[in-house]
Amino acid sequence: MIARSRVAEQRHSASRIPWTFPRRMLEDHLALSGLLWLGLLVVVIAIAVGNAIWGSVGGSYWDDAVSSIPQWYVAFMAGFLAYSFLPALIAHGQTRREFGQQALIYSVVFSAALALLVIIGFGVEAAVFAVMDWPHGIDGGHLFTSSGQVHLIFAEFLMRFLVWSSAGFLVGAGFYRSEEAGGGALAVAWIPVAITEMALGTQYGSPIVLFRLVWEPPTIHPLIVLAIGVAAFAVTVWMAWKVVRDIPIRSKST
Amino acid sequence: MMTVETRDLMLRYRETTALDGLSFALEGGKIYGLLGRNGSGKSTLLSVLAAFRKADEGDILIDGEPVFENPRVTRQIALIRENVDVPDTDDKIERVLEFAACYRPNWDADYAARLLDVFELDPKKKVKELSRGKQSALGAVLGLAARAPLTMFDETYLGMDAPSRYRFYDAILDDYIAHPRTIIISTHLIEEVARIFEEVVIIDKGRLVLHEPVETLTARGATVTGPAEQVEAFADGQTILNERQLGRTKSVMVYGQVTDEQRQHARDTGLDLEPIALQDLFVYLTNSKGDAQ
Repeated sequence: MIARSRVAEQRHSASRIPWTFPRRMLEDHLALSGLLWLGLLVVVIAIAVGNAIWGSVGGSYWDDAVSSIPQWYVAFMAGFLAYSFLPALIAHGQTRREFGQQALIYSVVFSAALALLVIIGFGVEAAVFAVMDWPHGIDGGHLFTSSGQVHLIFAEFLMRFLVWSSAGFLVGAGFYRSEEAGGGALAVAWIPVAITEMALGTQYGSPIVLFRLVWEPPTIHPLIVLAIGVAAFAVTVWMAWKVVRDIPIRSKST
Repeated sequence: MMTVETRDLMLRYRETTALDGLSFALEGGKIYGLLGRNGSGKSTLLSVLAAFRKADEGDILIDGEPVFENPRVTRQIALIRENVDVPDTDDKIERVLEFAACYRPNWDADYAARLLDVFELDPKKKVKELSRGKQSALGAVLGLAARAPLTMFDETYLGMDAPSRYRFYDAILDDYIAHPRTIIISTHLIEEVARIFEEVVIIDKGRLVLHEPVETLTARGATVTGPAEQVEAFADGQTILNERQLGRTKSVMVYGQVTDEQRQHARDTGLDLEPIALQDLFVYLTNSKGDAQ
């Protein structure tokens, strides 16, 4: 009887505890992301106003801003998650598998929330442009062609953030494991990112510049682009799990 | 009470063998001292027991179950190392305690708050602002308040001043009495902490040297004190670990079983017999020239 209640208690704690970490991380990181988003939006509107005063205004400055900056941000956050939280959670009785599951939940929710912020940014910019009677438009390199295609904006940025965050996680976990593993992770992590960005037709920035020097990709159907992005994400998660599944927790200097 | 059993544990770091076929079994509900020289494999052993790293070969059973990637077991283990395991050293102490409370099923927040007072830790201070000794004290708080059925401290005292260390030892003993569990303490400050050990595990070069109750271990020899001539006569033919002389009074530490007859003879000739010091015995047993077996 005692053994049964002990097992039940352990099951209870095992099912209760694992979701604490993504929730707490999301609370912290979304609050920070909201502030950064607000700052970026203010800067983008300020640039548009400046261009209107001293030059010509048109297109989408928000598009330029969110086509590279947030991707590096999610990659950095995921790398930090792997490098700092993985050892701390293992040291507090979690398993690597549990950490991986929780990190995945965190990445999906965090990416979805940032994709929503991107949509809101497009909406705010479009509203400001409409009020000011400035021409608003989206350049190529996206699944969407206007800021009104909310579902396509969400799908694209969710996919991009997931791929970038899995790549950041892989690099963070690699460097935690060892310098050699980190170097190896860095060498392979940019490949799924570059493939996804190339499939989207992204023009500038990111690791795709290296590819674009030698090859110009054709225009691809949005569903195929999404499939490529999902596959790139899945492969990167698989590689990250290979790094994490038996990763030793080393002693560190605090 | 969590039992610990290892069978033929092997672990190598590139060319170095840290654990070399290590096998032992610990009963639950005792305080164990894990002793060994620098590089003997103590920290590696504790890391493997806590599933911080995976052994290359061999088995570990905690309460009869494998430990690596087993959440039922890892939840019940707290390993506090010389450096505090926190996600971000920029966090305040209160945040670190909240973090621990999320993951430790038996976490006692009130006790943690009391321990902060004992170790004079300000919960508003950031971890990175703490001195080496205060970081160790924070580790002590995390380890004790977790109330994990298997609690291990790996040189957690580093940097603590003497009063803090004694508070730490007292806290371990008091909380162990109130909440019995299996505690393993790895230390180099043997004499300071020996009073709270029930059993001692000594390892050297990744191998088990001995595992015995402290009483049995200290009965492996004796410290004989008295007039120099009588002491020398008593120690004649025995293995001498240490000797000191002040004037005509001599004190000799002998290694080997002292029979009842020898004890009686010593008393009759005015000699004092005391248990051997654990630290001296440790030095002898782990000395490269020592014959531990």
